[in-house]
Amino acid sequence: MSSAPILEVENLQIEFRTGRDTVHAVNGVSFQVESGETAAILGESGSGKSVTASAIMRLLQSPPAFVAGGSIRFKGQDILSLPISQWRDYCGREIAMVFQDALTSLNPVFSVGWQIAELFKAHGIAKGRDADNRAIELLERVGIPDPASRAKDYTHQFSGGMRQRVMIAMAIALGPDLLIADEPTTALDVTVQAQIMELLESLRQDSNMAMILITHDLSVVADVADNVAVMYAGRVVERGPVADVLGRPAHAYTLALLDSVPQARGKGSKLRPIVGSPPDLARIPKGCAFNPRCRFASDLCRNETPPIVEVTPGRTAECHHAEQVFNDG
Amino acid sequence: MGQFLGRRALHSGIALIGLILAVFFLVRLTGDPTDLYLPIDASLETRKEFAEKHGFDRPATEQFVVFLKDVSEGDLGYSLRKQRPAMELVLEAYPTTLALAGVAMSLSIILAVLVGAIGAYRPGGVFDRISSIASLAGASAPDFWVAITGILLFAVTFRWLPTSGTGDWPYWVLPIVVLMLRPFGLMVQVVRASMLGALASAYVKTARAKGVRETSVIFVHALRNACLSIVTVAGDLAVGLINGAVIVETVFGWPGVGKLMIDAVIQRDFPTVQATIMVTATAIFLMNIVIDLLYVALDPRIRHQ
Amino acid sequence: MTTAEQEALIIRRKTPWWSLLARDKFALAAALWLTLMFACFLLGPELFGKAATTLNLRARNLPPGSTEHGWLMFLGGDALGRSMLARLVVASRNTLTIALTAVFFAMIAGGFLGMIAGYVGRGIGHVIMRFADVLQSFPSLLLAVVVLYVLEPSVTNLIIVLAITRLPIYLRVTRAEVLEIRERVFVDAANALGGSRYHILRRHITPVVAPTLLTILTVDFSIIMLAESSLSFLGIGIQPPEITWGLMVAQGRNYLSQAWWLAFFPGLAIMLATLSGNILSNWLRVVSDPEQRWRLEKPRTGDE
Repeated sequence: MSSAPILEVENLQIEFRTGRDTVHAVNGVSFQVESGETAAILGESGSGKSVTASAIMRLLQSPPAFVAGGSIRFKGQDILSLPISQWRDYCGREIAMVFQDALTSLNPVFSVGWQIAELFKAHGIAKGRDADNRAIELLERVGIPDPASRAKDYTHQFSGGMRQRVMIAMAIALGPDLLIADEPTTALDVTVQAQIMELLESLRQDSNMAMILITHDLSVVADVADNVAVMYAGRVVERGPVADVLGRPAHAYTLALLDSVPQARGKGSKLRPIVGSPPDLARIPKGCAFNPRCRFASDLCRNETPPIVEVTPGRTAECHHAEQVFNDG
Repeated sequence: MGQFLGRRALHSGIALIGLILAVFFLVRLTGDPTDLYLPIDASLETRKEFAEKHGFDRPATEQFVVFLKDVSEGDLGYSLRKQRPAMELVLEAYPTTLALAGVAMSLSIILAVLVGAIGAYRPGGVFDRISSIASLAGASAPDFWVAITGILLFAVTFRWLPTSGTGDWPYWVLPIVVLMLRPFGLMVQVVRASMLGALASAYVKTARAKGVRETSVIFVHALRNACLSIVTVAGDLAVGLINGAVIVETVFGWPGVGKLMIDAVIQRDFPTVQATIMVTATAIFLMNIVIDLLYVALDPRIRHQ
Repeated sequence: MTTAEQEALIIRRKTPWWSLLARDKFALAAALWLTLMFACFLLGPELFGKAATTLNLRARNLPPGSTEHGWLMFLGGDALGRSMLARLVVASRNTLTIALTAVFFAMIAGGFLGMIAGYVGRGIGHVIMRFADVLQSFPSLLLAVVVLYVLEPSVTNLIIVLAITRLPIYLRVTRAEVLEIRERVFVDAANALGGSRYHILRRHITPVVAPTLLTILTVDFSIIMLAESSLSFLGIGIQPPEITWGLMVAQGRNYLSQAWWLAFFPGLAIMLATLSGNILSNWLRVVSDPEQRWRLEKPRTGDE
């Protein structure tokens, strides 16, 4: 993995300007994705992880959303400075996205076959009967039985799991190099969740595609990701290889997150929910954003923004007490 | 789907029957129905003969049966003014109204879809603000006032267009424009609102993520969904269009149903009034069924219910 | 709204309504205009009643724009030399009385029937809904024309007819809201606590339904005003010597080529009133919709 990263996000800042409030949804997020790897972005709702994903695809509605700073580079190309019509040529072809809720993310008035075939038509790859046949092949590839007749069906005629498979078929149709999966299993039953993750993982391996997995689910991250970025209040608070970060967290928030989930860590640790709620992003607390909920919080945390600490090579944490957490947690 | 269509047809049917019932009772509200059906100077014998023929001297239930029979045969009496079956007069007048209303309705839908969709694409933008105020003004304008102001301006002052009557296209311009105002104004607002919803939806986001071009996103993905609410209000607007037709035909002297009805009211020609109501109600009943069929064709979710 | 945006827009503070009104210049102008009209409605006939009936033969068909015959003649004089302005102000009382009363009765009757349809039971609910279907599936103007034909046109009959034709909207909205609220827990709780049906309707359901009805009321005020003026214009509404703006347009129509202002100004008055009602209703709708409110809260110097 010596080649340049497929995606580099640097100091990304996104604001929602609503009336007199400015909501700082993303406050200087940086991370990279190497080609072929699975990178997870882990966080609660409101942490800015979905906004980051939408920003990468340039899907944010502006107004109210504005990119206030930073850059996103895809294969070395600064995408925020590209005209949107040029960026759309990349979308679907080289970078694709699987959305959370397939029921609302698929168009209810067009057949699923049509919606998949549209990709080939939009990118001038195939048309007519040819595009339809390719759509059927894709449905088969994602494991939909009787694909030829199912292609004529509409979204509401599919079960939740099957719908998400259609969504995935659309995303991989043109063999993209990077797939962003935004909470791909959240809307599904537990048993189906595993099947969908398995499908995503096998498709990814087949084509050596990179994947950004956005989720709040620690176990999913532990299962499939290579690297993880933990987000809180619009910032990446901890970054590193999954086994290291989840095995021995260096940020108080990551630790609290692990403590709040049953069986996530070794035996003996007590279940401890995180007190309080995520901050109002229009009024982010001074110092470390996590300090009001943190059991390690000191005056330093309440007054000064924590520095980025390199805990071990390739691992960073934004915490005044990183070492204490790393050693005692 | 069958259930949906059946229920809708039943509701429209009940509305039609309800209206027929209402007319039946309305006629008897005034006391002696022969007063309504016959000229004021009709002789006692004529009155008696008429009352017997239509059973006005018999019990109410029996009268209702006779009334239903008359209605189903299209026998709604003779026009007091023209001494011809009222039904004939109405059916003669209908094509004029349908042509006028059809052109006005089609034009307003096409224009409103364009204006509403473009406005919704950049909410709060210059085009959106201008078109919102314009459509609001269109929906608020008293049509009779716009009609006579139009005549004053374009026919009397500039002499570009004829003041009234029927004929070549110049005769159509003012009536169509006036008739379009209300449906266009209301439709722009409906299209704009449903396009706003559609454009903010998750499936539009998906389409963009697929790399679909923006024109297709708007006019294929979003508009196809917005069509459902457009069809829903189109029915109500078509019913409302008849209100406008009454005004437009009266002001511009078009020999349509609206003018026929107002003339009949002013000259107290009840059989003609009644025939107009019946034919209009039936036409609306049929139109509702067509709209429901269209709705089913457009929305696969209803098709598979 | 997408999840990403919801994620970002978590808490928002409320701006008072009058401050929002002041920021939207169209809504402000509409509110001011309606206030002025209301003042004319309250005081007009008392202040201008005499001026509106005084004949001034030298001011017959006087064109607007001159103050030679006093400022009351600024909008011109009619065929008998009466002041256009004074007549407009005086006519506002009938015009507004009919529109406001009809809207009020439509709302009360429609709201009441809607509550019954939504709350009492399926059977009665169906009957009431089919009644609304009958009313809505027929052009309201034709309906009014027929009823006024049979019942004689008078102010009372006009109000009744207009109220009845507009009633289905209130009925449907109220019923839909009641059905939704019924599902909510607090009504169940009140039921469980043994509250009477009347009490539940009055204390729990009315407060929630009322704001929606008020938004419709402003639109409906415009619609009813248009309907009344159309009827009066056709000669089936209000009868002389009573006067409304619609009737003034009809009368002025006969002098169109000699004195255009006779038909123009009353029509303009109707237009401005209905437009104001519609603008204000749109504004109310945006203000009461949490997903759209931010558009108004956005400061005017926002970078777009």
